[in-house]
Amino acid sequence: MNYDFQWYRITRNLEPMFEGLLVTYEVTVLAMAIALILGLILALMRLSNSRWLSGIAQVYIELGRAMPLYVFLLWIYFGLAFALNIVFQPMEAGVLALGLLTAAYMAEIYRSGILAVDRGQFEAARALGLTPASIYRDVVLPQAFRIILPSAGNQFVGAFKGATIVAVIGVADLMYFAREASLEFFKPFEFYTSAGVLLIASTIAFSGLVAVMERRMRGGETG
Amino acid sequence: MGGFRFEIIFESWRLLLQGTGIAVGVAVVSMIVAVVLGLVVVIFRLAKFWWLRWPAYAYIQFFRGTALYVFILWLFFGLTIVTGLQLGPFVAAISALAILYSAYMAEVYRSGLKAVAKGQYEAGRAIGLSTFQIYRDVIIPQAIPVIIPSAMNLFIDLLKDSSLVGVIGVADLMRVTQRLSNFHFRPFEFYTTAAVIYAIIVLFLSRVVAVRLERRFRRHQQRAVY
Repeated sequence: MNYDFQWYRITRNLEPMFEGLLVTYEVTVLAMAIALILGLILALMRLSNSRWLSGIAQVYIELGRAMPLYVFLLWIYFGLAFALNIVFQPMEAGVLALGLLTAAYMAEIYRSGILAVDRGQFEAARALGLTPASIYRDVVLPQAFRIILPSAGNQFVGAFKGATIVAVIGVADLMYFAREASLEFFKPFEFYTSAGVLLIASTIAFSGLVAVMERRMRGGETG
Repeated sequence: MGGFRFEIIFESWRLLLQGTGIAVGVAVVSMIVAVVLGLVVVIFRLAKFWWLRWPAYAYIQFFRGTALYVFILWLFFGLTIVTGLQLGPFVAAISALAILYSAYMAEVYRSGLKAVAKGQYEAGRAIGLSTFQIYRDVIIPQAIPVIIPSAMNLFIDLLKDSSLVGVIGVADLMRVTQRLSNFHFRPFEFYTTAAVIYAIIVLFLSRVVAVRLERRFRRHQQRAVY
């Protein structure tokens, strides 16, 4: 135990570390945006009466939930890019991989939210003569969104944790910086610990926010 | 495009199979350690004394908030250099996975114990059983049917997560895939194969094994509780 700690390396590099953390947030938010839109489309397909649409959505959801993020990320960045003869920027591949997989989970969250809306709401809307599109847009989805908010929040936390691995394909995020800086100064403990602290603090803060949201919503329902 | 050459996969089947074996092996060993370690954590978590309960609570919150990639690099590159500890890639990978998943496992145990009706504790006490007896003879037999299906789902998550242990040099399926794809310069064929292998394993576990476990234990559970 005669390791020479050099924590000043961290304080001198705070700026690039926070920039890296910001990239991790960016990947998460962009991927989540894809997941929120694609997930809703998949959920509506899955619940539609068309056997084709429903089947396609089901296959997507099953495969997406079965696929490890790391495997999918490498498949897109190295495999798919080669087959399609395109070059992805690391950031594009990272957001795409995380977004496409998270969409499968979001689809299931949307679906359970829609199914949790009281059947009477559908019937009442139909009795009022609303079109199917209007039933979903004006009656069912607004209620479903409220129901799924905590689950979607948890999914966001999961996506954030997943986003930490995009450094493996060279996205210049916090973990990437930690690796580069560790090699440069040969101080892996300081850099990985600091990166870990920043990332874990973020996850715990997000989880706390979700928990507060959940509690408030539960309070709102009974009140 | 020069067309796909999937036959190249079959020439490398031995290496791919070996990599798959290592990937599954790492996951299984990690899960076994997590199951044991999680039990210790949950016993602390449910203890009477706050100085046992609070550290266990912090442990669970902390590791549930930790991403595997971050933890595994910290352990393998960071901790080893400070402590002088010589962890091989295998030991580091299994330790990281086992520690992270022991926190989830502790929550699985806890929710299983909580699922047993409160009246069961009281009834046990009313007929004069000791706390130990209540747990051993009344609570745990009823909690196990709840715990096993959740533990299976956790194992599936662990297996998926463990696909990245190649980053610290474990020669698992993904690591083998990377090497083969670089060697033959056939990334699409090899990465697709790896993805298909993972999909098959995970879907088999979630669609066949987990479903069977759940069906079997749900029936069992109903018989036991009602």
